[in-house]
Amino acid sequence: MAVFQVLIADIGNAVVKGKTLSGAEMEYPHAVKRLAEAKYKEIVQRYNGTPPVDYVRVNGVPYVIGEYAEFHDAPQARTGSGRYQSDYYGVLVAALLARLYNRSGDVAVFAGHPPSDAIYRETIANSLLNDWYVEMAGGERTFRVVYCRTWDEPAGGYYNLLLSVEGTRYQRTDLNHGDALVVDVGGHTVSMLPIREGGIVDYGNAGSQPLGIRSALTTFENSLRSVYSAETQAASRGLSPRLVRKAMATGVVELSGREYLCHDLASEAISALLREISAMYQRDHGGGVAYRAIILSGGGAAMLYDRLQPILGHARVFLADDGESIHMANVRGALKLWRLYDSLGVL
Amino acid sequence: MSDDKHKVIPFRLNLDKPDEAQAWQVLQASSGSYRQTIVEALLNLARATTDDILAELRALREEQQQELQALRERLERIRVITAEAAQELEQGGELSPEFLDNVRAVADAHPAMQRDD
Repeated sequence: MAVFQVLIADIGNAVVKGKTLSGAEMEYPHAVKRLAEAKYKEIVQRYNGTPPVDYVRVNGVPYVIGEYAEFHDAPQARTGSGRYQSDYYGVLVAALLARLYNRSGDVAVFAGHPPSDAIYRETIANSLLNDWYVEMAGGERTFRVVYCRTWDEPAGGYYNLLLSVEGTRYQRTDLNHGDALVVDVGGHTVSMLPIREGGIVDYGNAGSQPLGIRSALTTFENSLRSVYSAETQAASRGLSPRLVRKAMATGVVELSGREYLCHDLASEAISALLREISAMYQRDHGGGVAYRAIILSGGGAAMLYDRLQPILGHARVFLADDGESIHMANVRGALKLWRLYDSLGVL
Repeated sequence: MSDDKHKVIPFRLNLDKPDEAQAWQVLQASSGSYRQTIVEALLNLARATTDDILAELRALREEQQQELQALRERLERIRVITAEAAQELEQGGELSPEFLDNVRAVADAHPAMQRDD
């Protein structure tokens, strides 16, 4: 297959992740908001024609995407079929392309999705197979997405652990013996995907639930607003996602310049999520008894690792990548799978 | 020399104590002087102690040599196992035909979609 550029994309509910064939990686918060033309022009003018990369015009329509979008009170990430539309999913991927590639050209996109969204594969492809004219940071590029293929997000974590960097050899042979269960804890979705001995992906027993770090963050934010009602009263549109994430991670929330301890609230919010994950693990996968290994992937896996261990109760639990970059495990594994596809001639 | 035997010994023995009463009997039965008897007794004790220590050291050395030999044999076994494992890893690194078939099945489940134009 002759294409100019390849993008491995994982448009997670919390974080958008991308990787190129050469290994370059990009991530930014999943937040997108369409801007009025006048507002966009004003912003571009204020930055003297070179605004941050978050301010972007895609096929003539201005948006703010990523961290700055959170400052603009971007709406919640879309879910279900409404998400895989050209004006949303396509825009997020186009912006990702423009951040990773500084040249125009034909592109192949290898797009990830949770197992429960397998029914949207064609919709995903249709939202991407297009011409994307992107204006960003004072420059412009045109990407012609000519090829699209999808992959299951949890499988990315599995391939990342199993395959070598070039994707054509085992990195560790032990995972190819016996069944493995991939537990992918994302921002809005927890997916569990069984991989049978020899690498057979068991789609029939795969499942996703609309749980994730975001649900814990929402519970946590509600608790903060309840306990510190006077201090948060002014934030009528809700606390900023960045503030809530930081408070959850540190156990200290800063409101109007004052710091308040919130360890217990964070712990309670995470407990609720863990209970749901435990119920799914017990109900759908027999508490992991029949699996030889449990592979944890997704951004939430590292955050919850210590508290997930007793719930999983398994002797062989592996993180799909280093703790600090585990949220990138799925795209890294997908790149290995792409290289393996390439070597097998199935692209 | 036999006169010395009856000279006063330079220390007191408490004959109520069995060990000291026995020592007194040894001194009385000895054909040499008290001093000579005591010196010989001490020399015998020193020799016996030295022999005991030497015997212990020899036994310890023997034991250590056996342990060292066992460690050498263990190390050799580890070397062999490591070499075998490295060879297995090298061979095992190759993706199995079964795995490759399953990857093709994964690819089939996610067909490529391309633009018509």
